[in-house]
Amino acid sequence: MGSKITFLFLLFIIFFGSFLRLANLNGNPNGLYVDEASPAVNARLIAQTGKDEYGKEYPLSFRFLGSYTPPLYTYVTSLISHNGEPSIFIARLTSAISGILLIIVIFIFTKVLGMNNITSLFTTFIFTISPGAIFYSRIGYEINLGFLLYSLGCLFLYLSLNNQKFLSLGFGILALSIYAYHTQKLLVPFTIILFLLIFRKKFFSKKIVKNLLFSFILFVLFILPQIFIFFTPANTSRGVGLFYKEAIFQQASLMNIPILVSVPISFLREFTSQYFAYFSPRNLFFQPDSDLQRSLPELSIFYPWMVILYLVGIFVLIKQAKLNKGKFTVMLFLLAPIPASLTGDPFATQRALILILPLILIMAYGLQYLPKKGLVLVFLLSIFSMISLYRSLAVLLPNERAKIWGYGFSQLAEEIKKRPDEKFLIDSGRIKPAYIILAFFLKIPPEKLQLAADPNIKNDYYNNTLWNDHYIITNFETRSISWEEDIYKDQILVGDELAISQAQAKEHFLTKLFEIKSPNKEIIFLGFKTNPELKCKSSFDSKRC
Amino acid sequence: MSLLLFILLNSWIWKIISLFPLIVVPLILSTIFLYKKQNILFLVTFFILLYFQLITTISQSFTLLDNDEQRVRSERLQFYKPSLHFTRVIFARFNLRDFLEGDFNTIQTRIYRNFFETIDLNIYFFAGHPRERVWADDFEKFSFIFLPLFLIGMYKIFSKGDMYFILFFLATIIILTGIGHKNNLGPFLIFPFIVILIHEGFLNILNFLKNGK
Repeated sequence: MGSKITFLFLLFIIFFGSFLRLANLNGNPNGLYVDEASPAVNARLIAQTGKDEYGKEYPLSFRFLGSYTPPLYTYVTSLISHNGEPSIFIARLTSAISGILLIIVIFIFTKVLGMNNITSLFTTFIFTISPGAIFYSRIGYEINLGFLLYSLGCLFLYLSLNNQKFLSLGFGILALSIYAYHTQKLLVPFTIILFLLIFRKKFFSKKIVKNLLFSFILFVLFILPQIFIFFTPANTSRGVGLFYKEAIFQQASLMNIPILVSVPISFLREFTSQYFAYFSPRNLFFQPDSDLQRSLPELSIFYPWMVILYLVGIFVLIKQAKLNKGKFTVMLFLLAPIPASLTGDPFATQRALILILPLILIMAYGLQYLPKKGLVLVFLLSIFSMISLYRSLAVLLPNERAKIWGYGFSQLAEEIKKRPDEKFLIDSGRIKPAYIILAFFLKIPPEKLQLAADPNIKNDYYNNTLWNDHYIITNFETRSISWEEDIYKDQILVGDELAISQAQAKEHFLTKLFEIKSPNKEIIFLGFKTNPELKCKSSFDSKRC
Repeated sequence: MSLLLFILLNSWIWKIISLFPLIVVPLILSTIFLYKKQNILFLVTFFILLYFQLITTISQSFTLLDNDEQRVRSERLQFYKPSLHFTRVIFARFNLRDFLEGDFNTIQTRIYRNFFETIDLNIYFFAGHPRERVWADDFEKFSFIFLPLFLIGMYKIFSKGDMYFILFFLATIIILTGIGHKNNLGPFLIFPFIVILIHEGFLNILNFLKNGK
């Protein structure tokens, strides 16, 4: 296939991929998840004041509830949204752009690995329409940006095998990816060490070692700010907090052998089971992530038929394992699930998103060995897959998963706006932290939001992991409802069906003001006006009336 | 001799012995015949195993929906109202709604489920952990330390192009895809293949340690 036609097809794929990633970005996923609201709000605050919601100037890691998120996504979003109106589209745009750029990176990667134009185009197309790649391009937090930077860094690492000038670029971009997502903090050092070990003959010669040293210094300089906070909870809370220590000791206690033997065996078993789950065709091609917020309904990372390309690809890859491209792909393939395998969540697609890169490359190896008729079949299956993608992405996701995605908060914000003189108490017992999502929709001014936060946090920013859900901002407050006190105050109580039942409403003379339902007709929020006068008359409480 | 060791060195066969000892003889024989490539004898024992697999497995319909699945389907059908989005008009015109939420989809999903469960190594080496199937009453069939041997054996047999083994192995996967996994003895039809793959891996490691090849 000629280069002009290849370029035209590539343009078409990029255009189509952009459509899949940008269409109705504002409304699908339907709502705003708390993990999206935090970087979006902080991006606005950084753009306007240079400080985050706690008043910390340009943090190295953003404090998010009781945890921390790497800063790059927030800073990039703050550049995009500079002085602009906050919108869900802007909150998700960095991710979507990363997804579109990834299409180009995948095409270049396949070309660099020596695939012909047809295989490269097919591989790029398969990546473009993969449910996992599309889904994570449409959510407004850091994972996809981390995926882009890691892939780009790896591309330059591979290019450096033929031209050492690319090494420093590879190291630099990989260092940058550490600022994008937690997984890369563990994965990037592993990748660099293993890469240098596997291809040591290329880099440890007298002529080239200078370049290697320069790249290493550049890498250290890039990650220096992260090293400063490396041993603080800003870094360790996610890494150590998610490790399955309890499961290991529980398994070890069941073995009737000394603890020095049983603990390593239990760890090995747990780690191996988690690790192999990331290569399991059942998880990759059929059963979606069990976390409903992190998956498309009924679709996993890839379409089921792609398993053929995966299995053939693995076989071809093993045959080519002695070639540089084979060694490099195997390295990426075996490394990618390691960080995710150290966490207790079964098959956490979010933490292993970078696995898509080696998997797609493996499918490219498989595609290379398909006859022309096979390629036609792949194309037809891809087209057929568009129907199931439409079902999952456009029909089921915005309707079935709306509640999980924080649907209803924009409507609640409208209710709060409608009643500026009334006080709202939003029950936080059963709802994801509401203050940050409402701060997004209500466009709370920076100074008011920063004033609402605990002032002590700023002074010990990277060490303070205590989380208090009690916030008072403008006319709303978030905390658990106290049924002994709150019914005696003139305010509007907001909660879900279980937080405020019909019986409680009747008992405490509450008047229903509004009801917010999901597209699936599930009740998300109920708003009740208290009636302190009537309550006091019915059960006089001298302290409260 | 070493093959016999691998036949017995797993908890799967002992579970079968404790629950349904009658199956053990054809199970051991079919493993040995498959290894020795005694086609006719293997086929005989394989069909006996298949018979036992069929009578011990609780059949699952490819089309019937339980109450919860029916509720989900009726809810989902509401999302295709042409009034909700202009693209739904196309769906209504081509009757795609019934295609996507109807029997075709149910059959397709269940076939996929059976197939992917059959080829999921975590089910054989980790009792389905970390994504346990509560309904399948999973148990650890082989110790996880055999997994590397299994993978090496698989690579060796597939790269040798042992068509006799490969074809029967694929046929077994297809049969189990049809039968399903609702069996408290597990999908034991595949037992001989896994044992032989582990054994093959073991022989290769042994050969590597002895001769460096």
